Parts: sequence; structure tokens; C-alpha cells
Amino acid sequence: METAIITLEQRELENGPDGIRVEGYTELLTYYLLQDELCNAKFLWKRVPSNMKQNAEIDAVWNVGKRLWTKDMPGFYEAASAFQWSAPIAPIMNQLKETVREKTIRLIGRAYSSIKPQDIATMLGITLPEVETLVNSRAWKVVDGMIEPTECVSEDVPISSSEEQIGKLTDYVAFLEN
Amino acid sequence: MMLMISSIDSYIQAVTNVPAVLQNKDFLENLHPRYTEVLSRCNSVAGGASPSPNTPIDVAINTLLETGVNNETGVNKHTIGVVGLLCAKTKTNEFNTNFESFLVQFSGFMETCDWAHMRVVANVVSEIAAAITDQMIRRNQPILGINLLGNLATRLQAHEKMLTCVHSCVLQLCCASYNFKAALRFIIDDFEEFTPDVKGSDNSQSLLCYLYYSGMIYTALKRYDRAIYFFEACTRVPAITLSHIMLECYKKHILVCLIEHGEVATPHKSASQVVNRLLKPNALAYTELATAFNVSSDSLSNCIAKHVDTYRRDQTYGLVKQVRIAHMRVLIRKLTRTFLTLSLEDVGRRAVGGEADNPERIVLSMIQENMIYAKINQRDGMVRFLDSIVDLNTNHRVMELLEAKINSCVELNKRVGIMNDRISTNPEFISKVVLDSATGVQDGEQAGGSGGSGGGNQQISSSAKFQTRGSTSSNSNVAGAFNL
Amino acid sequence: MPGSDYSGNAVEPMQVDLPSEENDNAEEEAFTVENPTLDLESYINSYNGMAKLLRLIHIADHCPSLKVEALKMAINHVQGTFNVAMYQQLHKKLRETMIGTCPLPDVTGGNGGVPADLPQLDMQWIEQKSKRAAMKLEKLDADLKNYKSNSIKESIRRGHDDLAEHYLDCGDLTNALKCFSRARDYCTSAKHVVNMCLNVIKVSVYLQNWTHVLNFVSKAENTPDVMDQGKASTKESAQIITKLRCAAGLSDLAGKKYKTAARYFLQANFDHCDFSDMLSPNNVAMYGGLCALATFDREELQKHVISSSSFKLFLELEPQIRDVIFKFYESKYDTCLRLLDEMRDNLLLDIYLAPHVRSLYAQIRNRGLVQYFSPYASADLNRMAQSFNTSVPALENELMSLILDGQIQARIDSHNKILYAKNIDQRSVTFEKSLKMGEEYERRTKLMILRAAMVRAQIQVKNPQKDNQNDTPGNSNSRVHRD
Repeated sequence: METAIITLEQRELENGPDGIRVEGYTELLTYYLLQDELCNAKFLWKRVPSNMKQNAEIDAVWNVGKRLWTKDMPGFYEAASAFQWSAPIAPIMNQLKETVREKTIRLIGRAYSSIKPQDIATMLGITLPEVETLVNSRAWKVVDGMIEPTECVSEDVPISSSEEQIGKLTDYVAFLEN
Repeated sequence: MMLMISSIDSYIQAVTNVPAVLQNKDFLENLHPRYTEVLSRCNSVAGGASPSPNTPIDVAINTLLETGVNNETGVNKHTIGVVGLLCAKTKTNEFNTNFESFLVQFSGFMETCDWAHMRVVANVVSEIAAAITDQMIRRNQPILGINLLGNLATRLQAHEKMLTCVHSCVLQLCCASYNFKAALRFIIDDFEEFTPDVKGSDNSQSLLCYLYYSGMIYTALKRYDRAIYFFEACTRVPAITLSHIMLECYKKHILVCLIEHGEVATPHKSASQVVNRLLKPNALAYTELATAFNVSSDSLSNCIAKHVDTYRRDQTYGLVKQVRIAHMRVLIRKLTRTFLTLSLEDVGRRAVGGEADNPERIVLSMIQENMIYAKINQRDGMVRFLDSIVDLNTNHRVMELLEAKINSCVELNKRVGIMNDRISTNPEFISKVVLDSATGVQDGEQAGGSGGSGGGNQQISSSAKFQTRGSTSSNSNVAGAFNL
Repeated sequence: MPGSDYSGNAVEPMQVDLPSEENDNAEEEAFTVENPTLDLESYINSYNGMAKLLRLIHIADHCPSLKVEALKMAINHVQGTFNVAMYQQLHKKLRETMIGTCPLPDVTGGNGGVPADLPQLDMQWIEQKSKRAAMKLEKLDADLKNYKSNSIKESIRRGHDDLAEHYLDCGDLTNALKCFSRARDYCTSAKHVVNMCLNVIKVSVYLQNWTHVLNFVSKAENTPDVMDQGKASTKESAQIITKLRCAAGLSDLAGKKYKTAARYFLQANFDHCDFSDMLSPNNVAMYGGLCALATFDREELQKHVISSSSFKLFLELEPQIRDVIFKFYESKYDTCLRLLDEMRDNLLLDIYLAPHVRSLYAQIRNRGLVQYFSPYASADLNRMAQSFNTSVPALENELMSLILDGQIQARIDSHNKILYAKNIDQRSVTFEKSLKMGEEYERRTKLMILRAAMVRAQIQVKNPQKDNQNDTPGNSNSRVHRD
């Protein structure tokens, strides 16, 4: 993905809008969304020449982006599903949906001690039965019709060896002594 | 050396007959105004807008390009001559009408030119860069200039901590084309040297613009901490008068500080004089905003309403609106420091001020951005605020963060140490210090922070002070100076 | 902000960061006192001279119900001096007040709109006094010139002092101050110096020129002989010391340095506290007591106020403040606060205390809140609110500002209405601090490197040429930012 982005950016820098063309812009825009680079996405949209903005797909991608910008979750899923994406865009868009969904699930786990199933459904753009499956798969508790999510523990980086740590500490002390 | 230049031919003669060693700045400074004059005369003779590739200047440039390149090294010994001609060309009509071919010529020249020479005549190079920038923007194709000038800027640097005038052109192009990501590569936050064109007191504008653009680019990308840095740096450029660029930076510094930190740090004392005397009274709408921010959301609203025209005129209304949101967030952050639990309703009443957006959404988005740690309980509509969800004791990421910080501080400290050494071995500094200690002058710039570099910084600043008065200096006399 | 729910409490919920009101002194708050319980006559009898006059005027300005009485007393007093201008001024005020308060002449018996008990403007007195004042001035002036030509230092000094006293009597404070100050050059003994200082202090207090007061207090204290003997407690020097301490206390009070003010007042010696041209012992008790209450911690309060044998005597004069202090010390905050509330009106009538009543009260209250909670790990907000005569939401707001201010280490459980002491995780605080410190160091050092580079390159923003003025990057700016 990184290289794809760099190639596209370079194409634009070398030959301007004519070099990247609307397909390239659409792809780059989608990549930015996937990378959660909303600012870059916003300014990319701003610099796309107006005749290219007529293109239905790039407009649809930006529509998705706008929903992310305003944190409008239901709107996001709606916009992301409403368009028949072309072959190059579809996989990125699917990945985007997955990433956003996973992030939202984490957020729910982090931000709520109890939440209505309906709210989860809206935030994730899924149906109530799907919420139930999700709750089961994450082993969240259900009490009196309210869901009590648990936090996903972020995997921790393994601790560096103690020798290494001592080494670093020695360096610091050596620095301070001088 | 007297230069008698009456035509292009004699210019070429002058350039080609002078050994490269002598093609230094003095030489060019003599040459430059004269040939501009000559060229303008030639141009009028040639009939102005003729698109012919065989205008006298082009002939001259081509001659120099062909004859100058050393076959072995591939470096053009007439670099300075060509730069002069190219610069003159930017002032002709042809530059306008035949811009593409100029770009081709220029980028071709960049492949063979002698960069050390280019640096000597950086002021002429930056004149060309400015002309190109201007033309690109006028043609509404700023994005096409980024690579060319970016390349020029990078190669013009003698090392990566050197700032050139071309840098600010690149940033300007990036801003004009909304391509902020491309600009990040060219933003240096700790340059130590300048190409000669940036130096001296007549050219501060390029530096100010560079800092201003950097701040604006980071603001646009919502990297407010970096933006604050550049805006602050801009207000700290030595100044004896008010520059409008500094004023803009000062205004934006206030806004961005409020958005990022919810408070405006007191201006550094090295800037305070000009800031207090000139900037503050000229940015009342903003200083008042900062004051109102600390009082209540009512007074903030009043202040915004009072100055709304100013903000719109200054094109800062967008940021001001963000300041409003930031204020709400500051209030919520304060709530997290005072409450264990609080009903969403109360959060709304105390912080959101009954605005349309519902408090749950705001709290949620603050949790999402790691600004606060809290748990919303929908069952009873309460929010429970937590200190921090990550236990710092077991989180090695924090450890890593800390190590990275320590390392970068150590690095910086070393750099300051080197600067210090350089100054303390400077003979003029030493004689100045001897003088100062006799009269008891003590006026130090404090870097503060950790580490034992306080004393060193003082040296730097007082030396800086003296250098403004003194002339440039060489290190040849170090030994002698120590004998003082 | 629709904070109407809190309208019971005049404080904005987030008024925490309100900058200290610097212009408090500049804009005298316009307030009126409706229900004073002050016995004006006995109160004012503790003062004489200018002090009496100034206090009466303050009361007249702020208390409608005592206005007429205060003005009459002031006029009465003024008639014993040469202060003709003041007499006319006071009389005018009185006239306006009495006509204003009795708009219906019928009620008072109809005397052409003028109430019967309105004293006539005594033109004869004015004329006589003016004449005599001028004559006396002339004589004193002539005397002084005479002394000067004879250059006898002591006489010149006295001449200046006499002239100053006369100016003071005429109400011309500025000239009085000038003459008292001039005497300085003719002082021949330490005693004279101290005397001169006391005179200058007195007039400066009237003029409310507090920096001047402090300067001369320290000048007097640095005068060797007198102050040294003072330790040996001759009656006179003890009195001088007490007077100096009180003047310093008054200045610090005016400068909002309540803690040092308290310390100064506490050093006053009851037996030698007799200077009715400045303060009464009652004032010392009140000023000292309030300032101490607002700024001392429990231990200091115990040691320096409650068990101070000398200050106890002062407190006996003002049983109210004594009770307040004791109730506070006994942690009976509700009684203490109620008593304070009862005193408020009278305190507002005190010329020097009035501007500080609000902030002193707020500080006392905060101190109470902090002290109340200090022994607990958790406290019930309902009961706490009861103890402080307030509602739970208002209490939450007060606590909030104290917590943010770092005065109470606690968190509010608004759900269960309980205040919990907060255990600070020192480790994580340290982590956070060091990260922040590192960042700040990096930032500042880089800024410094930049600046050093600029200075070395001799970059300086100079006067731009006229045509450059509009050349700010505003144009591109408009493009950059419009989100």
C-alpha cells in the first residue's frame, strides 16, 4: 500500500492532474481514507480539478470520506455500500470498511461500560441479530438487555532484555555525569 | 576588475574569460546589474515577444552551456554566468510566453551546474525560483513546480540543516496546490545555516514566509503542536519592527495554542519586546479571545461575536470556530480531573453549554482521540472518568516513548554543546566576554528544561548579541585570544 | 451558557481560571449596604482627624440609611478644622441627600422643600476660616523663610512640620505630604527621622499611596537608635513599632498580600496601640483576624492567633471575629460562616476592608472546605453542603475549582454524591511529567538553535519599504485555510 501511495503521489507531482488522472486520484483518495489520513484526503479532494470531480466514483469515495470526517458512522456504512465500486477500488474499500468496523468495536470496548444493542448496531452498520453474533464472538456480557463490552487488551511489545535496559541506563547516567 | 559590458557578446566574453576561481560573488555582483540593463536593451531590439528560440539570450546561454561543461567531471565552469543569464531571462517577455522551454532549459542546466557556485550566487538562484513560483501560480499549475524547485532546494543545500530561499518557494507552491503532504519533506525545524540569500537584514521576508508557511501547513494537517512551534519561531525572529508576516503568525499562534493546549504560553522574553510593543496591540481580537477563553464560554461567545468581522477578514474564522470546540473539550478535560462519575446530562450542562451536539458523542470522540479516559454507562446515563486506561508500569510502549525522548534530548544537548564550543573558541566572543564580565552584563537566553545546559545557552545568546554588532569573524586567532 | 440551574450560586461553574482582578482597585465597586448594625457614634469616636473624616465619607457613600447621620457628623468635625473646601462639599452632599430622600415637602412640614433639620450653610464661618487659614499660612511661610535665612536646622524642620500640619488641617494632603517630606533634610537625630517617617506614613495612608507607606515604614525601621531601644521597650518606641507594623499591615492588605498583612497586624502591641488618626485597636483585631483566617493553616492559626496572648486582647474588643475564629478552629463551619455573613455589612462600611471583603470571604470559605475534607478518605456531599450552608450542586462547583486548583486532592462521585480522596499514582505522574519535560526541552532547544542561527546570519526584520507592506502571504493564506 505504501509503495502504491508513493507511486501515485509521484505521478501527480511529475505531471500534475494529467499524469495521475481521475482513476489515480480515486485510488489515492481511497488509500488515504484507509490510512486514516483524513486531512490529506480532504486536501486531495480540494485539488482535484473540477472536471474530474464529475466522475461518479471519486465523488462517491469522497462522500465516504466526508462521513468519516464528521464521524457519522451509519452514514459511512451506507455510503460505502451504496456504490458499485470498480475493480481497483473495491478491495481497498472493503478493507476500509473492515478497518473502520474493527476500530469501532475497539472503541466501544474502551468507551462503554454498558450500551444498548441498538446503538452498537448503528455504530457498526449491522443488524441486531448480527450484534448478537458479535457479542457472542467477543464474549461480551448481556445484562438486562444492555451489553457490557470488555476492553480488548492491546498486545504489548515484548520487554527488552534486562541487559539491554541496563545498557541504556548506563548510557543515560554517563550522559548526565558529563 | 572593471567590466565593460555593452552587449551579450561582451558578457559572454567577460564570463568565459574569467577563470572559474574568480567567479565569485563580487564578480557577479558587478556583472549582474549591468547585463540586466544590456539584456533589456537587447530584448527591445529583438522585438519583445518573439517566441524564436534564437533570441540573443538563448544563444548566449547555449554557448555557455556547450563550452562550459567539463567532459570529465560533467560540471559547468560557467555556472555563474548561466545563472545570471537565466535570471535575466525571467525578466523578459519570453519567460512568460515560452515558459515550458525555459523550464526544460533550467532543469537541463541543473544537471551540469556547479552547486558550490550556485550557493555563492544563491540570491540570483532564488530570484529565478521566485519567478518560476510566481509563473506557476499564475498559470494555475503550482503542483508542477514542486518537484523541480524541491530538487533545486535540496541540491542547493550544503547540508541538510541549511535553509535556502528556494525552500519557501517550494512551500508556497505546496500551499497553492493544496498538496501539503509533499511539503513536509522540505520543512526543517532545526536549521543551523542559511544560504547567503537568506542572510543579512534585508532578506528576512523569505525566512518569515518559510516559517509562516510551515506553520500553516501543519495547521492544515491538524498537527497543531508542530504548527505552534513554527508560529512561535516566526515571532522570535530578531526584529526591530513589525512585519505583517510576524503579525499573522502571532495571531495564528494564539489560535492554535488555544486549540491544542487550551492556553497561550507567555511569549519568550527574546521576543517579548517586539511582541508586547507591536504585535499585541495589533492583534487585539486575538489576545482578547485568549483572555475570554479562560473566563467562561459565555465570554468566549461574546468575544467571538464582537470580533467576528475581524476574524472573517483575517480568514481565521475557521480556526476560531475550532477554538470554540477546543474550549468545550478543555472544560470536559477539567471535568475528568474533578469527577469520578458525572451524568451525561451534567457533562452537557457544564461543558457543552446546551449546544445541539449531544454530550455522549463529544465524550465518545474524545475517548476515541485519547484525550480523556472514560467509560460511558448507558444504563444510568453516567460517565465514569478514569485516570488512564493503560497502566504505565507495565506498558513498554511508554517506556519506549520515554527512551526515544531521552535520546533526542541527548542528541540535542550534544548539538548545543558543539555550538557552545564553537562560540567559546571564537576570539571576538572571548574578548566580548571579558568586557562583559568587567561591566557585569548578564543577559541570557534560557533554554530551560532538563539537563545542565543552562550556562551554555547563556553563552550562545550573549555571543549572538555581540555578533549582531560585530562583523563576521574567523577562527584563526583562537590561540591569541586565549592569551587575553 | 444556560447555567441557570446554578443561578443560586452567582459563580460561573468554570470561573476557576478567572484572572485575579487587577483592576479591582481602579474601579471601586459600587455597592450599598442596606442593614448595618453599626453604632455609628461609638464607632467613629475611636478616630480623629482625617481618619475620622475619611471613614465617615466612606460610610456616607455606601450606606443610605446612615448617610445623613454620617454627613452631619462629618460636617461637625470639619467645622473644627480649616478644611473649608470639605465643608462646602459635605454640605452640598447633605443637602442633596436630604432633599432627595424627602421629595415631598409636606411630610416634613413643608419648609420650601428644605427639611427642617438641614443645617444652614454657614457662610460666615467659611469666610472667617478661609481668611484665618490664609493668614496662618502666610505667617508659617514667613517663619519658615526666616528660619531658613538663619539656617538653624532644627527650626527649619519644625517650620516644615508646622506648615505641613496646617496644610493637613486645611485638607490639602498633597502639600502636607510635601512639607513633611521636606523636613527630612533637616533631621538631626534618629528620633526626628522616625518622626518624619511617621508623619509621611500618616498622610500617605490618607492618600492611600501604599508603596509610599511601605517605603517609609522600612526607612523608619532601618533608623538605628530608636528601633534598637525599641526592643528595650520604652513606651514611646513600642508605640512607634506598633504603629509601623499596623501601617505595613494596612499596605499589604491593600495590596492583597493578606498573609503578610496578617503577620504585621499580629505583631501589634495592645498596650501601645493608640493612634486614632490611623486605626483603632478594633480595626487591628478585625483586619488581623480576617487575614489570618483567610491565609493561615490550622497550625499557624493556633499558634499565632488563638494562643497569642497579645492578640487575644485585641480579639476581646471584637467578640464577633473572635467567635468566628474559634468556630473555624473547632471546625464548626456552618456557625462560622453564618457569623461571617452577619458581619459582612459592617465590614463593607470599613474604608480599608471593603474592597477585600469578598475575596477574603472566599478564601476563608475555601480554607474551610479544604480543612473539612482533609481528614477524610471520602465525604458525603449532602452533609458537607449542609455544613457550608449551600446546595449540593453549588458545592460541587466550589469543590471543582478547588480540585483544579490543586487545593484538594479528590474526585467527586457525582452519581453517589460522595467526595473521594484521590490517590495519586506518583509513578505515572512522574512518567507524564518527564515526557512533557522532554518535549518542552526539545522544543525550546530547537527554537534556540534557530534563533542562534538567525542571529549569526544577522537576520533582522527591519522597516519594510512602503510598497512591501501589503506583501504578506495573506493571499496564499486565504487558499490555505478555510476549513
